[in-house]
Amino acid sequence: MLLRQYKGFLIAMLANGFLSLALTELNHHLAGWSITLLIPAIFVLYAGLNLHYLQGLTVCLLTGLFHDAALPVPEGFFTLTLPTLHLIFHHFRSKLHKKGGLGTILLAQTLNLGTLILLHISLSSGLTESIVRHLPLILLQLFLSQLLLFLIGLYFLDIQRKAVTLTRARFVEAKGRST
Amino acid sequence: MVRKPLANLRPLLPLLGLFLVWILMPIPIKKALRKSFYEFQAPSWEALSWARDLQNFWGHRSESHAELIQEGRDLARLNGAYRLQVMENESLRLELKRLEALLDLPAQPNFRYEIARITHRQISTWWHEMIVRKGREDGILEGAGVVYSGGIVGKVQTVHAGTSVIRLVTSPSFRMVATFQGDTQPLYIQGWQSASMGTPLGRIRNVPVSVHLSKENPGLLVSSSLGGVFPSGLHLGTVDQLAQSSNGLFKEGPVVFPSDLYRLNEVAILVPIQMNN
Repeated sequence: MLLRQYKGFLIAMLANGFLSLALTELNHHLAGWSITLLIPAIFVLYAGLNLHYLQGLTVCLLTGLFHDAALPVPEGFFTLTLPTLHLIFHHFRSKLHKKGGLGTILLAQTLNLGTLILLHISLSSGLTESIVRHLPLILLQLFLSQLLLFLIGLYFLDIQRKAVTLTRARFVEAKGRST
Repeated sequence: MVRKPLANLRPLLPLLGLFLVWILMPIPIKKALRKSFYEFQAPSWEALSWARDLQNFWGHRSESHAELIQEGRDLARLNGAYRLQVMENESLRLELKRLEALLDLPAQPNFRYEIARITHRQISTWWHEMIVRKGREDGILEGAGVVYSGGIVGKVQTVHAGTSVIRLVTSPSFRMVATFQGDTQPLYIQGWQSASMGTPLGRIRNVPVSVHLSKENPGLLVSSSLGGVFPSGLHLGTVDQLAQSSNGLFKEGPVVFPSDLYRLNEVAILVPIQMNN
């Protein structure tokens, strides 16, 4: 009974873990070109649109803690930003389709870009020279991250939904904001 | 149905609580939390690295016998050359030891080379790190030097149970002492965030104004044993342009590190050997 109640939560955690690992591998191969791709918004898509608020928040909090431990980012950056992104998704979930759609992907793109800009601003304090010199490479990384999110965002959401359907877990009906 | 304003605010409360808890949380607890989550996911990175090695293994298994024989022959020639160098090094080491005893000089630091596979690389504008599959359990120490066949890689930044984080020589927070090959004047090397794709760069400072370098006559930088982290004479990079520093007393310029620095799969960590052992 308890396991059935938390199936969605467990699947979201597992899916986030596997995607995080796949991103690590991708960035390992892109390191030769000094490129790192980050797509934080993708980790909150399913949790924000399909899970109970507190379950989704816990998924995002744990994913954020894992991200913070893996990357040399300012202390608590993803721990705080992922739950915030989740809240925004949760706020708009009544207007968005649970399976995704253009609205979902546009919101995900906007939030992802906002988070990455915030991250770049917080990291730029450590620069020893003007950020203008690094702008082309930063913009390229931003563009590639957004492109990756566009390509796999809805697919990743669909995989998680299908996994939950396969395990016959109950979805939370998105009638407004059910908390 | 119109929602009550308070009901709209309800989802905000757990998030505000989380922010408050995070702000008030003591730094040691935050660090412990980060370390715990790192250790929890480290085995998955190791598994990823093992999977890559296995892929390589099966890739080599499919190579033809003729290719393997050719590679074996090349390796045998290389081994022969290295064997001669080892003998030469051994005689030089004994000579050095004899001179140290004769002149009553302090002994040079000795190192054990711990070979480590790289689990993954994290290189971008902001960070220059590699994570290796050796950690505290293998006797790795924080601050230890890391080298490869092409020269210096960086230093061990953090040591975990089974993995270690290496700060690359290109990281702006990396600093070390170096010399030009055949010279003894100590120079100061610092990493430099590269604005171009995949070019490992650094900065050299404290170069005497009498030194003149050009593209035709570049300077080859080698490590110095002054910091006690690296043995002297390991290849670092090349410098082909120098400009007057802001104080006018010295020159400074960019250092180009070997291009394969960002594509390494294996490194050697220098573990100091205690003299009384």
